[in-house]
Amino acid sequence: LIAKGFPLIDRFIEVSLSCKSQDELFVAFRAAMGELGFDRLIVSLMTDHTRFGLNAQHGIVGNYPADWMQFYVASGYEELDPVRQWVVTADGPFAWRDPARNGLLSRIQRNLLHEAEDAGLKDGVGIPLRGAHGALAGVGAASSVGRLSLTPTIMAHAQLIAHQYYAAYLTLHSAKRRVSPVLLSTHEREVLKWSAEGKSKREIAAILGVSRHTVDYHCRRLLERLDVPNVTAALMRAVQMGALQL
Amino acid sequence: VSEAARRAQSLDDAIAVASRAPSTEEAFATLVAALRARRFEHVCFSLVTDHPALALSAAFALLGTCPSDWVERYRATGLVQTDPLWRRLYEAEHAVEYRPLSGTAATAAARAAFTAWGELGCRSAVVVPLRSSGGALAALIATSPSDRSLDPAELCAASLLSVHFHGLYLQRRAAPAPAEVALTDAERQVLIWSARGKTKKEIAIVLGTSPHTVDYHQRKLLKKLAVSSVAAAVARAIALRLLLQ
Repeated sequence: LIAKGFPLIDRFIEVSLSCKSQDELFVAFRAAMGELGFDRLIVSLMTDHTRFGLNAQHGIVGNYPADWMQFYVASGYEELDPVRQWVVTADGPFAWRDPARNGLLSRIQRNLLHEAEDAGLKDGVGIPLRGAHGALAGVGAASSVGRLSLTPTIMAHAQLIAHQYYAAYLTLHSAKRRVSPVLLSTHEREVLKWSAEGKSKREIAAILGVSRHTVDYHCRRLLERLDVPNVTAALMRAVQMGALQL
Repeated sequence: VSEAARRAQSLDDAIAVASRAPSTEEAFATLVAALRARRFEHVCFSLVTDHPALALSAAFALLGTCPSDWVERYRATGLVQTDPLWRRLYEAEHAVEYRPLSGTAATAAARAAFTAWGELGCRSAVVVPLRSSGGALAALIATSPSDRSLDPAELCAASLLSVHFHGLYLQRRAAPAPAEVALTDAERQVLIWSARGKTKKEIAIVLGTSPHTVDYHQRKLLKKLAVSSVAAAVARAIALRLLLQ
């Protein structure tokens, strides 16, 4: 064991590299985040982690209060939770209570955050974690006590510890199979790009100077390759897989 | 090594110093200093894909210590596409080691890449994938003149320093926030299920309402996002960062 007092992040790297099981790793993660004042944690896989054989799941590990977790599931909060939504779009750690974010919340979402606080999840932060091929995970961290000062330094420490946790988590799972990157053809990219602009297949054919039949062909191939039912879902999937940027 | 000296070289300290830097260039300089203290030599930050959120296109060695004539040659010889390093980067979950001199290069492109990195005195390198929302990918490469394998802890340290710099870079360079669009819960639900490829009829079943109601919310959604189709609404929502992926 490495003595306290040695800087936190360096210490957590050493400890995380020595962990032999997920349980051990989470205990170390909890200890490190605890030193920052976050004694409540949850780790969620926001997308399937196909190459690790893991499916998307809210709360793969964590120590949020059990009654809150039950209430959360029973209320169908997973789809509405603003923290989960922010994890998708945020490029770094964020405070749940960030006023710039809270302005856009619906009534139910604002209520959800109040209820979380009442359940002992105060001064919460969310941390997005991104892996290869569009994999996305997220960490929620909060304090049962409150009165944390969420300074940029604390946020940066939390982010890097969570990042190291995710790296070690995936290393312990070890990739089970290879996923080859999806590279779109020029035609497929054009179809997606113009669909994103709201063009119909007929309009896309006119823009590209090809027949409607040709657009249909590329479209069908695209849907097959991305394994989705329509162009709308294809747009989403392509962005998730890193094959397209919007 | 004294406790004070250890602390001065710690990641905690390097991060505090980088956070205080007034510009991205100066933050990058602190990253370079921290990596050099860990015996890395050249440091190179690239945008591997376009970064629409920053209004920046893909660019190799956007910031870095590599000599500019070397960077120009690397670009001119097409290594930005063909260097096997980029494939490794796409596949990597987190920082990986790249050893241009070990083993035999299988292809002419790989040989050219290995030669290029050799010219920089690079015998091994750490390659850090830096991913952000909307599928954007950047990379930090730190080269080492040493032939020995990198210590896992040093690899992680380089990775976390890079992740921290990347966060600062995204924060400081972010284009002005897109116009605020407030969605109702019903509109958000319709959007989420549309992005998963569900039809109006299917969404109505999922939400326990009528296709007519779904249609009503969908029309309001298109109007709010100022688009003409559901596909365009999803694309717009991704760009505006409204959508749960």
